[in-house]
Amino acid sequence: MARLTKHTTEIILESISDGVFTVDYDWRISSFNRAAEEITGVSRKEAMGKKCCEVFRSNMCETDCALHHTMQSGNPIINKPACIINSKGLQIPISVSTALLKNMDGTIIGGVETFRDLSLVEKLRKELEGRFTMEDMISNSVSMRKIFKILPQIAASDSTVLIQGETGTGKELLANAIHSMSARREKAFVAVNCAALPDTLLESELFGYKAGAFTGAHKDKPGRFALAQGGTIFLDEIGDISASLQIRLLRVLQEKIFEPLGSTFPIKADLRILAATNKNIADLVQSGAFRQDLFYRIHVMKIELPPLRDRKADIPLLIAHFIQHFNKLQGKNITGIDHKALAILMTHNYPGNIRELQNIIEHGFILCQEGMIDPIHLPEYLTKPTFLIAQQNDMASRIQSAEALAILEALQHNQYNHLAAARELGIHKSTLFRKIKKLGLTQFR
Amino acid sequence: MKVALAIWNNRISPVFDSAHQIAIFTIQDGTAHPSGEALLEETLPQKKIARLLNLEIETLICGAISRPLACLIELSGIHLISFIAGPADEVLTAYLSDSLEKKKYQMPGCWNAENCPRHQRQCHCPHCRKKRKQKNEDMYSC
Repeated sequence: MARLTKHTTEIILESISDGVFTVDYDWRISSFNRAAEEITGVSRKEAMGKKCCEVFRSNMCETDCALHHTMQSGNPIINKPACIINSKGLQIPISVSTALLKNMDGTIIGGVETFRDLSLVEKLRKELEGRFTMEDMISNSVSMRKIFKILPQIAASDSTVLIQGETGTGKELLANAIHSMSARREKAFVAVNCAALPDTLLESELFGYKAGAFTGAHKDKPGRFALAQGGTIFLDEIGDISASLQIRLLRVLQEKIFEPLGSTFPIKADLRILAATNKNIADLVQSGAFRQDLFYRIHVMKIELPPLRDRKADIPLLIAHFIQHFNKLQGKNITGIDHKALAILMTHNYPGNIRELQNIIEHGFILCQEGMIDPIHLPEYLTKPTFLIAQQNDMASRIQSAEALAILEALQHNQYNHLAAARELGIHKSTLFRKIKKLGLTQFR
Repeated sequence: MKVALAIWNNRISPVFDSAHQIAIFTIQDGTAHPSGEALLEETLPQKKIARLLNLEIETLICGAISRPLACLIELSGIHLISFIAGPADEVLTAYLSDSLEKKKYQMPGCWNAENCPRHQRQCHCPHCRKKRKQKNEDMYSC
C-alpha cells in the first residue's frame, strides 16, 4: 500500500506544471520533479544531492530563504514572489510556497518547496504597464553595444536625454530602459506623444489646469508633469511641438518649475525629462522651427538609435524573440523560420524598422498554424520581388529583376517618394514611372 | 591583478545579482594574496559595477548571474567567470591552476556547452580571448 502511495505521489508530482523539490537537513536536493527541471533548466540527474541554492539560484537564497524560514519556524510560506536565474542566464519570476517534509511517522526529515513560473504573467503585466528594461532590447550589433555600454552612466545621471531615431527603432523602449536603470525607477514613467495631440490640448495635458481656468474646467486636473513628479517624463516627437509650447517647456527645463493653466503658484518640477524625435532637430533649429535654446537644453546627451537596415545581423535574433513572444501570447508552437523566408527578411530594407519586423512575424503567425514560418506566410509585398528573381533565368529577365529590386529598394529608402527615388537611382522621374509600369510594380506606387 | 570572488558562507554566492560580499585577492606570480573583503550593498547594477571598478577588480568569479548584468560587467572591461559553484578556497585554487572548467566547479545545468551561458557566450582559451579583444565583440547578446 505504501509503495502504491509513493508511486501515485510520483505520478502526481510528474504531471503538475509547478516545480517541486525537497531538501534534507543539509540543504541538499532529495527530489526534483519534471516541472522543476523545465523551469530551472537543470536536469534531475544533476540536481540530486546538490545544494539547493546552487540549483534553485533565487534572489532570496542568501538573505531571505523561504525554506529556511519554514524549517526554523515550522510555518509554511504561501506564494512568496521571487526571481530565479535559469541555466541560460534568464531571470524567471516565480512564486514560492514552502512546507515541512515529514515521513510516515510524522518526523520532520527536511523541507519541500513548490514554485510556479510567472514569466507569462510578468510579461503581460510589463506590457500592460509599459515597463521595459535593457534586457528587452535585443541586439548584438556593435552600434547598439556602444549604446548599452554608456546606458548605465546615462541612467545614473539626471540629465535630459535626446533620443533620435527613425520610427520603430525603439525610442520609447530605450527611454523606458533608462528609467528602469535610474534611481527614479520606483516612481512613475509617463510617456507623452507630443504629435498626437493638438497644441492647446497638449498644453493642458502636460501642465494640467486649475478649476475655472477656461470654460469647462470644473475641477483641478493634474498634468503629466505633476503625474511624473519624482519619476521620468518621456516627450516623444518633441520636434512637433509649437513655438509657444517650446517656451513653456524651456522654463520647466531651465528653472525646474511649471505652472498649471490658471494657477498663479509655480510647482517645483522634480522629474527627469527624456525626449525623442524621428526628425533631425539640428535641421529644425536651422530652419527656425525649433528654438535653439531649447535644443541645447534637451541636447545634453544624445543617443542615436540605428535603423534596422544598418544592423541586419540583429534580424535573426529579433525574429527568434518575436516568435517566442507570439508563441506565448497566442499559445502556438511555431518552431522557427524557414531559411528561404529568413533570406527574404534579411534582404528587406525595413522603413518601419523593428515595429515592421514585429508586424511581419505577427502576420506570419496568423497564416502559419504550426511548424516553421515559410515564404508563403510572409506579407505579399516582401515575397513579390524574390518571387520575381526565382522565376527568371535568362539574361534579359535577370536584368529586369535586378532593375525591379533596385527600384523597390530606392522607393523603400525614400519612403515611396518617387522623385527622391529617381534621384537616388540617377534616372529621370518619368523613366522611373515608365519602368514601374513595365515591371509591374504598380502596387508599390 | 585583482580577482574578486562573490562569496556567501565561505562558498561562491549562488546569485551575483543579489550577492552582498566579495573576497578580493591580488594575483602575483601565480599566487593569490588576500586583499580583504568588500560589501556590495548597491542594488543598482551600474553602482555595483562602479564599486567593482573602484576596487580595481579585473576578474570576477561568481555564481549565477542575469544576462543584463553579465553584459554590463563584460562591457565595463571586467573579465567575468560566472556560473561557478563550490567552496571559495577550492574555487580560488582551481582558478590559479586554470581548472575552473572542471564539472566539479560548474553550477548544475551549466556543464553542457549547449545550455551553458558561459560557454555560449565566450570561450576563454587564449586564442579566442585575443580574437575577441581585437574585434571587441563576442557572441553574447544583451
